[in-house]
Amino acid sequence: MAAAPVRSRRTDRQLHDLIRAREQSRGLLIAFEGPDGSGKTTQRRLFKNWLQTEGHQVVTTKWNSSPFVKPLVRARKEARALSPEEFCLLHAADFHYRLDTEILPALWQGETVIADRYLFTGLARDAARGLDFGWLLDVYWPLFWPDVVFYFSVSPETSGKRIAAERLPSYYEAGQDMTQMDDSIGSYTSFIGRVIQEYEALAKIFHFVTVDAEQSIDEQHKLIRSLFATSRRRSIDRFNREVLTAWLRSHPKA
Amino acid sequence: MNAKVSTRQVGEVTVIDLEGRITLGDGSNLLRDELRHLISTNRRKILLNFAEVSYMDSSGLGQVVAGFTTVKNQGGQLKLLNVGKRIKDLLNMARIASIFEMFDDESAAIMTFA
Repeated sequence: MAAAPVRSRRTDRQLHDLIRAREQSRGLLIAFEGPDGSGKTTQRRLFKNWLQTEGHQVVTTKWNSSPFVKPLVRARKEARALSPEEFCLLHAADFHYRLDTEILPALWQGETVIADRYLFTGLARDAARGLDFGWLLDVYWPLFWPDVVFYFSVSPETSGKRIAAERLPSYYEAGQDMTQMDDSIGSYTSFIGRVIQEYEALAKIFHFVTVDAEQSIDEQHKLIRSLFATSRRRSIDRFNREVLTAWLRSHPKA
Repeated sequence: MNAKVSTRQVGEVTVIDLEGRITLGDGSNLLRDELRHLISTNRRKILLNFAEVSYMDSSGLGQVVAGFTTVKNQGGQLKLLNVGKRIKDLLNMARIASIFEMFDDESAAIMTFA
């Protein structure tokens, strides 16, 4: 029989004091978001190298990378057996697992975390698959807000051209489960337009920092550096206290 | 039910009555266009009335937040009236409810505009 999880006996007040005391020494969470083909992974790598040269301890976390969920998603994708709801729930499970085991521990230790895609990827893709936005927020609840979200904005045409130049998009990447089109490129261009519309809405709600990803790699990188320099850390107390409190309760040694 | 957006003036405050589904496409675009029109005509005390809204998606929510930010940046105020439980839940789950002033009584809401 598995042992029951260890729970902290610290009071709410003690946990809040602990969180407040860690506000300045905690790490920053920076998310890179945008559709496929927007160049965010290239920019994430450049940004990470630059941060390291500036003396930051940097950890990267990637979408759909947790050891428990990733193989399951792959198998279900290969079988083309994922419904929009299952697609969403599996990615949410992956996200919550990484938040608990990678993101929060690193932030607590003062490391900078760069997320190559964050929960907004799930919200945009799943809403584009027709799922209700309120239901999605519930699945990803409680939201843990990053300090900064860089959103790489491209047109559906640019995204489609960049992807087509490299490879044929996969069945789910092309949204063929929704469009029912045989032509993966055609389906991709149609589906990514919906995803981008969702991203544009999320950019307004969650105050993304938008980067024009039609610019050159160098121009974008310079812009990200300067935007980062002027961005402010988000108050834990206002946005993320609930999530951190719950995490500290289940990690009494933190 | 198709979305409708109409406005009425109560003293210095412009009340926007929303109706139907405020979603990607029609409803969301109507709201965006109305807010742009009000701001361009220097009306910056705005009360958004959700009494007849049946549904709102991310696009509608995005327009409300964008409107709030634009009006605020121009020295105005945008407040919410008759926000139903479902939309309140959306605002709470997205952790943005606290940026808005919300009212259930129109007269009381009008009185709060400076």
